[in-house]
Amino acid sequence: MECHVKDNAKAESGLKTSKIIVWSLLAAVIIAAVVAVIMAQSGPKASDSANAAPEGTASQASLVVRENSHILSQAKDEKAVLVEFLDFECESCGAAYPFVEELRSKYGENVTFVQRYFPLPGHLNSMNSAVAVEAAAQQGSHEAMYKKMFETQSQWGESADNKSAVFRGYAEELGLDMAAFDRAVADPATKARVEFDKADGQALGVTGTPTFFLDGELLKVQSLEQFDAAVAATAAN
Amino acid sequence: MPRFAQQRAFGLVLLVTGAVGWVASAILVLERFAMYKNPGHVTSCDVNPWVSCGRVMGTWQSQLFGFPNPLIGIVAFAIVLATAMAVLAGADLARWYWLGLQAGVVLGAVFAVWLWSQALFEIYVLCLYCMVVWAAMVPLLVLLTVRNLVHGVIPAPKAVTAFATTWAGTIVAAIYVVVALSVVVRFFPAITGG
Repeated sequence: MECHVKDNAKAESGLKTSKIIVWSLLAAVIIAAVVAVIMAQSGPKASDSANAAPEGTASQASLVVRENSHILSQAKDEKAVLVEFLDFECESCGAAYPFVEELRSKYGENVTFVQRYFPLPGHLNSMNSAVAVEAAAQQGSHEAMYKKMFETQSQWGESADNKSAVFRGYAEELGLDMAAFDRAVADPATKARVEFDKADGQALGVTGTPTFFLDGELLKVQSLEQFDAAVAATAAN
Repeated sequence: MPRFAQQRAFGLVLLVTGAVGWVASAILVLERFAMYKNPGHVTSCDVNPWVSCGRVMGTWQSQLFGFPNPLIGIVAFAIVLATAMAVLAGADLARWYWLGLQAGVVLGAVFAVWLWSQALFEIYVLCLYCMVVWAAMVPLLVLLTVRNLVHGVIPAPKAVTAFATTWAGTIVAAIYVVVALSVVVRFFPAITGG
């Protein structure tokens, strides 16, 4: 009888230890996730403060929009310029796309919308899609291809295969000059043009996409309403 | 017998999970109605481009059976609530009733898992009140299953029942952590403002 009681106690303390281990592991996972989020959040902030240095601000405005930057829509009565650094394969950009289109229809009269490339290394077709859009842009079909990419993103995004053939199909659908399109895609200068945008973004401290600049200033908003309000405020100026 | 599997305590488990799930479903139904009336309606759960019920409601996944999913929620969680009241009132429900409840909750959990996978991997937008429903489904499924094991509603070897009984709370916590982690990992760039 006594022996039995002892065994029970032993088993119970063993159980207690394993429970403590499991709960500690769970707690460790939570702490690790919190630390990762905090670190990732403070990362870009450090570069922001670097941009805030006088020298940084002086050169910043000229980096945000360049002569060759693609204008999605030019405001008739321009009061502000909204620039988006984006990656066509980034899902957040795809998620932001309908909202940006909404802003474009709402404030297009007073706000000029500019799109700049910022292909991220994490996706296989980020560069391919940017090159395809750039090749279309050379034929004056930048906006059509830009829309096509986001509207079809779910069909080709996250793929482990090269989707250049799919993008070529989009160009055909848009009725582009395919010989010129193929030449542009093959031309290293097209890729260099994409990388030119990306280099500007990096110099501006862009680390992820989508990143927006409103009138040359990095736009920091927490919600769509704030975003809308910020654009509305500059449009009304 | 673990405390939560006792009559009164289990009635409270059903009451809390049922109430939380029902309220979240009801809010989603009301928001859905508001969106029918005015397609431009900004829902109370449109926080940013990644956390937005409004954007999730626009998808086919949000009305899998041709009508808004939360309508299922307000019917199904009402059954959980009614059962909670019966249990708290001291009802001694037949085994087949518990089996039926188990079957319903399992189906509900399967649906919730599917919605979770769609939100994370297909839609890439989170819906706050949908997540409240997931949060209610986890303890409801785990604790009901363990309760039914303990009471012999679901036949199982003693060792399985003993294991499930000891680890019930931990299983609930572990699922919470895994689900939360899946959201953090998947939406990492969004959370960190990338």
